[in-house]
Amino acid sequence: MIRPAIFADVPGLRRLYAALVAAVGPVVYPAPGADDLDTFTLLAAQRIGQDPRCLVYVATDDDTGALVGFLGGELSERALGDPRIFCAAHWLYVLPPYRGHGVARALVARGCADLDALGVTHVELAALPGDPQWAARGWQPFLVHHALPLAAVLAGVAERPAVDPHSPTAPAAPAPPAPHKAPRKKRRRRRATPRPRLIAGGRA
Amino acid sequence: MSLVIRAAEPGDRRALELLLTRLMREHQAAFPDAYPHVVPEEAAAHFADGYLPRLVLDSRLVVVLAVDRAPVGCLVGEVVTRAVGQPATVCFVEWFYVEPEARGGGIGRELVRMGLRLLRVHGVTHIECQSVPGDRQWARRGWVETARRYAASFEHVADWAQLEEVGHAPR
Repeated sequence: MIRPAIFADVPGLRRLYAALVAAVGPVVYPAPGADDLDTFTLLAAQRIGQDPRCLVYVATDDDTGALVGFLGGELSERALGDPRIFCAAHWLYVLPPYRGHGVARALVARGCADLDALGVTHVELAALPGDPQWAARGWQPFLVHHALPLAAVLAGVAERPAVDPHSPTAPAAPAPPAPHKAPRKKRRRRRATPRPRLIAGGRA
Repeated sequence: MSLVIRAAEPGDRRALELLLTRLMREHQAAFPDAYPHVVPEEAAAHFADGYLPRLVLDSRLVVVLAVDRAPVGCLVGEVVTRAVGQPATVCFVEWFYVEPEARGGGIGRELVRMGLRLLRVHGVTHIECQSVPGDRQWARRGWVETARRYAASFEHVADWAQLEEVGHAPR
């Protein structure tokens, strides 16, 4: 069964989120924090059923009623740009034994029904670098997120001193002229023998 | 001429708007299909207006200007805190621009140096930024890709979701 999440689902969502994080494996950046699971739980408890922008759906086992998958996202609005209102999808996860039965698509279809009613025209998500699944499904990449440690940024701006030709700190005196050389007579250059090209480790 | 690199002040609102307009125009010329679409003049005015009250009151907003009689460059960054993941507090660079005629003289580096000085009080350990796919300048400078954002139209997503319901293979 697919339905919107309610407050009572928070413990089950916590278990699913932990399983999702474990399934994704180690993420280099941003690295998982010790408090992430608690923070996720707290945010879920605060927003589910309270914040109309928070869109969370769960899939339950028809026999046991246990949560077996979830889709989480939110309605977002950018200050400028088209589309201004969009859905930011954050999580989509189905427990391995329940995969291959259309649970994920059913979750997405349920979310789409609400988005349709809200007039949302686009959905956006973030994926790890090198994850090809969204491009394979026809999603278009539109932003690449980069990070660099502060120390590396500092080293980058220090490695080449700034040279401002207009700066008053630049040397006031002109550089000494280069020693005068008599112009060399132009000679017709003989075409040199073509140098051998390196092809696949050997000389052609 | 004398180049001055300094933190922006409320009186710099117009200069910021001009620089951001030029940045966005140049970016749109290079990447005309960039998503989401913005109108440079409208967006620049909006952002400059938004920064204005924060320039004095909010130290988490870092705005640096390069002025050589007229403004020739700017750096706008913001100290942000994410709910999950480490490092939690980082500086996200929103805008970084030097006028084409002023490039090659180290102004960009000076803007970054000043920005880093202003960031010291926040204890930030990492800087983040975003670019459109195909813009290789950050990778060339050693920045590491940490995520890629994708978008799809509602119809595309709905189509995919409904196909499975009737037993079709994904497209």
